Amino acid sequence: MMTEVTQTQEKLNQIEGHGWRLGLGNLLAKENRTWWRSKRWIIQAALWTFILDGLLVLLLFIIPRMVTTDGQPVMPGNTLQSAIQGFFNLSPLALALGIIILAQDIVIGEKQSGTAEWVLSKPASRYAFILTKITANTLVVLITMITIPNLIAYTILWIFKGSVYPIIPFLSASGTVFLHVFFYLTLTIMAGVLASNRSLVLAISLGTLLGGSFLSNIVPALSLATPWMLPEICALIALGEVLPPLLIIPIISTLIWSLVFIFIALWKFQKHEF
Amino acid sequence: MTNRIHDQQASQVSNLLAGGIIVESGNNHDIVSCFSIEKGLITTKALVLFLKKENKFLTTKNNLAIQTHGLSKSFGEVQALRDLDLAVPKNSITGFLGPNGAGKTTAIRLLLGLNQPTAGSGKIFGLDIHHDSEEIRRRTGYLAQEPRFYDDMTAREILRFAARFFFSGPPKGIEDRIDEMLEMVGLVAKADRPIKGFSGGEKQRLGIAQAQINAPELLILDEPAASLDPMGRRDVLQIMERLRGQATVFYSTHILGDVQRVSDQVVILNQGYLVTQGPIELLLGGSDGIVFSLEIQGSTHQAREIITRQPWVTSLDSQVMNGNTLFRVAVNDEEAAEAQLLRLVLADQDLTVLRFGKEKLELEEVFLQLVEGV
Repeated sequence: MMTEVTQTQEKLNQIEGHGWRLGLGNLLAKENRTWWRSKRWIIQAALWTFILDGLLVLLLFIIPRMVTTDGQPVMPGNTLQSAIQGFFNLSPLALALGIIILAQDIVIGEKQSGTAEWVLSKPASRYAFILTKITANTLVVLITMITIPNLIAYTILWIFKGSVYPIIPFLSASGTVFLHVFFYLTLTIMAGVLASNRSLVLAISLGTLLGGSFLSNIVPALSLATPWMLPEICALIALGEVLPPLLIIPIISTLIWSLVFIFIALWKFQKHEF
Repeated sequence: MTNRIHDQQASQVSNLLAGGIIVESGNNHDIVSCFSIEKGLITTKALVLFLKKENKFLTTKNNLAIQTHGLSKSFGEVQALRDLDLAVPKNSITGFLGPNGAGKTTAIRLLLGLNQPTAGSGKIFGLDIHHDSEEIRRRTGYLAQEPRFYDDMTAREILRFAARFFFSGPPKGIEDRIDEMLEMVGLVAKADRPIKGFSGGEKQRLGIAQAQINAPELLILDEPAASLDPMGRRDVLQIMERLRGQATVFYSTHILGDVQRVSDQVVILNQGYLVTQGPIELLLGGSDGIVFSLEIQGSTHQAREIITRQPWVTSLDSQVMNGNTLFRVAVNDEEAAEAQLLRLVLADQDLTVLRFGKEKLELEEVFLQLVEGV
């Protein structure tokens, strides 16, 4: 038996190399396979299309026709403007909530189940382990949570308006929504590295999301250094408003926070004890 | 104290290592005279006698698969491992024993770089366990105590995933290797079923297959037979036996019978401390060296005098059992004892020897003696 084994091994090309990329390709392929070779991505795309585009349809076609008991319209004013505002105000929050639920188990689940220990007993770097989680899930966010629902949303707007909606503001607003979701993805992954139980991961991520508006009311300056104002900024961008320089700061700070979270996750996971 | 001999010919010059440092060298007699026998441990004397008899060596400096010096690990206030000096020879099958919480899994995780030591150092194939962990993992296979895999993947996908850490191709070669491993552990029929439907024993088999996927030079198995049925256990032992002489197998277990059956070497930990390590034959020989027992019928006065006069006899204990006398004769020259002891006793025509043999302890007895002082 063992002679046969050795003979087989001689035919195989050994993987050489060291450093942070060790095992990266294999881990990324595995993470991607988990999403794209199953129905998970279709379910996610369908779910977010239903929620987000359903909301847009509601705001464009149903609510404007509704009136209060005294005959006043429920949603007065410019329907298109109100619908875009509502869509880009709510979708960052809904998607952030979604990614927190999806990502809360990514790292801590593997730490607790023992699969992380198993993977890292192979020639794979800890950097690669975390980076592939971030990369694969970022791709999932981009495609199933942003691109597909927003492509359909754009089509709906086109149908409603009867002409093409300006593409640049729409794309910029979609990009800002993505940044908002990316912040919560990286925050949740970092919390998964730092925490030892799921409740704590959820508490950190949901606390940041839900406690944000409360905190920024108490300390308004916090809005500039956090993503808490991004939903309003998304709506302004989508409507084609020119952003005052002050409102660029939350976008930059959200990006910086996300990079800091990635750095902390990589650094702490390097020291993680199994 | 644990001692190791570093030499090319046990009958020539030996170096005595303590904690990896040569503390004494010279011929065996000199070394024996330098060190006292410590109760409960494999002693220098017993070790040298064993080496002399077997004409083989415990370790030579370049012949170690695993070597640690003062390896320690604490988790907060809890000291899980204390000053572990391991020396596991290449191509040996080494049983790693100890009660629950002794520090076995901690030691294994330190060796694989999954945890970092609080103090001390370690080498695998001469590579530092901290700095060269990637290269070590490339040459090692590992089975965790409770192996866990991705439940949505099939056994074949798990093995493919594991293989891709070591091999870039060709795909046909990798698939052939996977088939071999599936056949080796008897999972061919379940190869394409998701892991979530697997029993504990099947997961354990898969764990052994994935640990072997890269044909490692060192196989580290943490309780490999724990959740297996008797047939599964037998298969695991057979796999380990097939690897004898080709790879180093370092495995922890509670099944002492298995250790006695397949291991060449034994390491025993207790409460984070190394209690003993060495060849299993030596351990089973007991701490008194080699002991022969004789059950004799008749007057034993003359026989006792003759035996105690022999230069190779170190002690003689006797007790009366059912009207017969049981002699336990400790010797320092096994060959002389084997050749002469029975003849000397039978020279007395008034005696009848009912039973004669060399005493060998069961591993369980030795283990309990060492760990509990029973």
